[in-house]
Amino acid sequence: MKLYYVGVLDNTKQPALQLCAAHELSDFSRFTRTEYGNFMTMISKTVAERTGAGQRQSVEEQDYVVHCYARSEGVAGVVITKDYPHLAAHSVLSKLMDQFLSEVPLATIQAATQDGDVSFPALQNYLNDFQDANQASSIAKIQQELDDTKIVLHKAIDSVLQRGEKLDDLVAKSSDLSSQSKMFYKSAKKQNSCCILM
Amino acid sequence: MSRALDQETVASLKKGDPVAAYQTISNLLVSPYDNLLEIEILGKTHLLGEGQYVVQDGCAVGISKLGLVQAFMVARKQLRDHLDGITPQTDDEVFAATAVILLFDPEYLTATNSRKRLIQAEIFSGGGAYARLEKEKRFVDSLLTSRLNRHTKSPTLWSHRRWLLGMFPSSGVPVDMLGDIRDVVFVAGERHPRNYYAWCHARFLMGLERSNNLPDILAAVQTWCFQHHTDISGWTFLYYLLNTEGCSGAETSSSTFTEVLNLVSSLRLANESVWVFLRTLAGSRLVGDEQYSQFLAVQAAVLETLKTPTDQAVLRAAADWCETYRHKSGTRLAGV
Repeated sequence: MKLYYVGVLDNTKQPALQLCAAHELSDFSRFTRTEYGNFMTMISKTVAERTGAGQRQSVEEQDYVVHCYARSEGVAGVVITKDYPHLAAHSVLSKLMDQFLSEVPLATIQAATQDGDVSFPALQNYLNDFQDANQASSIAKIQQELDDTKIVLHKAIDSVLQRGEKLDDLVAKSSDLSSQSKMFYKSAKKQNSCCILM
Repeated sequence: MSRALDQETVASLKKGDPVAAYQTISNLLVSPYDNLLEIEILGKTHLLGEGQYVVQDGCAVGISKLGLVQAFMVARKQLRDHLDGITPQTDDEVFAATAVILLFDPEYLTATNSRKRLIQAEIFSGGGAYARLEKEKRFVDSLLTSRLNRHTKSPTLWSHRRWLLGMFPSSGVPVDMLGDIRDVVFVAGERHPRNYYAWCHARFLMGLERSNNLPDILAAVQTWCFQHHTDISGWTFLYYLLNTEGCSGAETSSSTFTEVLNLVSSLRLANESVWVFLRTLAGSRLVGDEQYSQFLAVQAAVLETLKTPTDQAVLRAAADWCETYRHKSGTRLAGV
C-alpha cells in the first residue's frame, strides 16, 4: 500500500493549477524520481480537469491509481496510490478537502496563479500518516458511509480523456514535463517486464 | 532495465574507451562502503557526458548502460583468460572483474563460483573471515536490493547468498536474522513482488540458527504483509512463522488472525492473496471454533459490499475451501 502523491488543485482553470502538493518518491530510484514526480503532477492535473464538481473518480493506470474528489467550491483533491483500496483513498480525500476548505480562504485560492502558490503544511502529514495500512484502515472504518457506487472507476487513463485525445499527445504537449522527462516516458513504456501475468 | 541493446547503443559500443569504463565501474564496485549501494542503470535519457560512466550521490549510484556493456566485455575476457591460464589475475582483479560481470548478468554462474573459490581459499588459509564474508554480503545485498529488475529475483545471486550465509556459523560470524529479513528480504520482496527466491531465503535463514527474536520477526513480517497485502509470498511466510515452534503460541495466532480480519473488514480487501492466507489459517488447528465463526461473519459482510464477480468468487472460494478442508489432517497451504 503506498501513497505517492497528495495534492489540491484548482480545476476551474485550464490547465488546472496545483495549489499545493506533496510527493513520496522514495520508492523510485535516485536518478529517476524527479521524472516520476513531474508525471504525477501532470497526471493529477489531467484527471482533476476532467472531474466535475461534486464528482469522485478513480483512474487505474498499470499499477497505479489516481483518485480525485472535486468539490463544488472549484477545488479538487488528488491522491496517487498503489494497492490502496479505493474507499480508503476517497476517505482520505474527504478528510483532506474538509480540512483544506476550512483552513484556506477562497480569496487565497482565487488569487493563486502558479503551482505551489497556496501554503497548506498539513498536506505533508496526510502523505506521512496515511501510508500505513492501519491508519488507512481506521479512516475507512470512520467513513464507512462513503458509498463506493458514487466513485466513477476508469480502467485506464485514456478513458478519462476526450474522444481523440491520447495520453502520449498530452505528454508531448505538457509544460510540466522537461524534454528529458518526455524522453523518459517514451523509453519507460518499452521496459521489459517478467511476471507479466501476475 | 532490459539487456536488449538498441541500434544507437550498438553503434556507440564501437566508440569510447571500454577499458576506462571497466576501470571506473569496477573501482566503484570494489571500494569499501559501510552501507549498501543503491545501483541503477541509466539509459540514454540520462545524458551523461563523454567518458562519464558513473554518477554518484552518496550511496546512490547510476551507471550508464553503454559503459556497463563495454565494461562487461573487458571483464568477461579478463575472467576467461584468467581461468584458461592465459593471463593469471590477482585475487583483487578477479573480484573486480566478476563484480562487473554480475552487475551486467546476474546469472553468470562462473563469476559467482570464482568468487566462492577465492573466499573459501582465503578463509581456509586463516585469513580474516569476518571482513571477507561481510564485504561479500554487502556486495551481494547491494545487487539484491537495488532497483535492478533481474537481480532482485536472480536464482544465481540468491543461491550465492545462501552459500555465503551458510559459511557464517562455521566461521564464527554472527547471523542477524531479523536484520537480514528486514533489510534484504523485505526490500527485494518489494522491488520484485511475489519473490519466490527472497522468501525461500527467509526460510533458509530461519533454519540456520536458533534465534531469540522470533516474536520480533513475526511482528515485522505481519507489518510487511499489511503494507503488501496483495503479495501471496509474504502471507505464506507469515503462515509458516505461525506454524514454527517457538515463534508463536495459540495467543499470537489468535491475535494475528483477528488483526488480519479487522484489516480485511475495514478496507474491504478482496485480493486472492490475503484470502488464501485467511482460509488456510481458518482451516487449520490454530483457529478455534469461535474465531472460525468470526471469519465466516467477516467473509459474509465483505462479500455483500463487493461489486465485481471476480472479487466475489475469491471470497466464496475461501468459504468453500474451509468447508472442505477445515480440520482435515495434514492441511497444506494451497496455491503457493
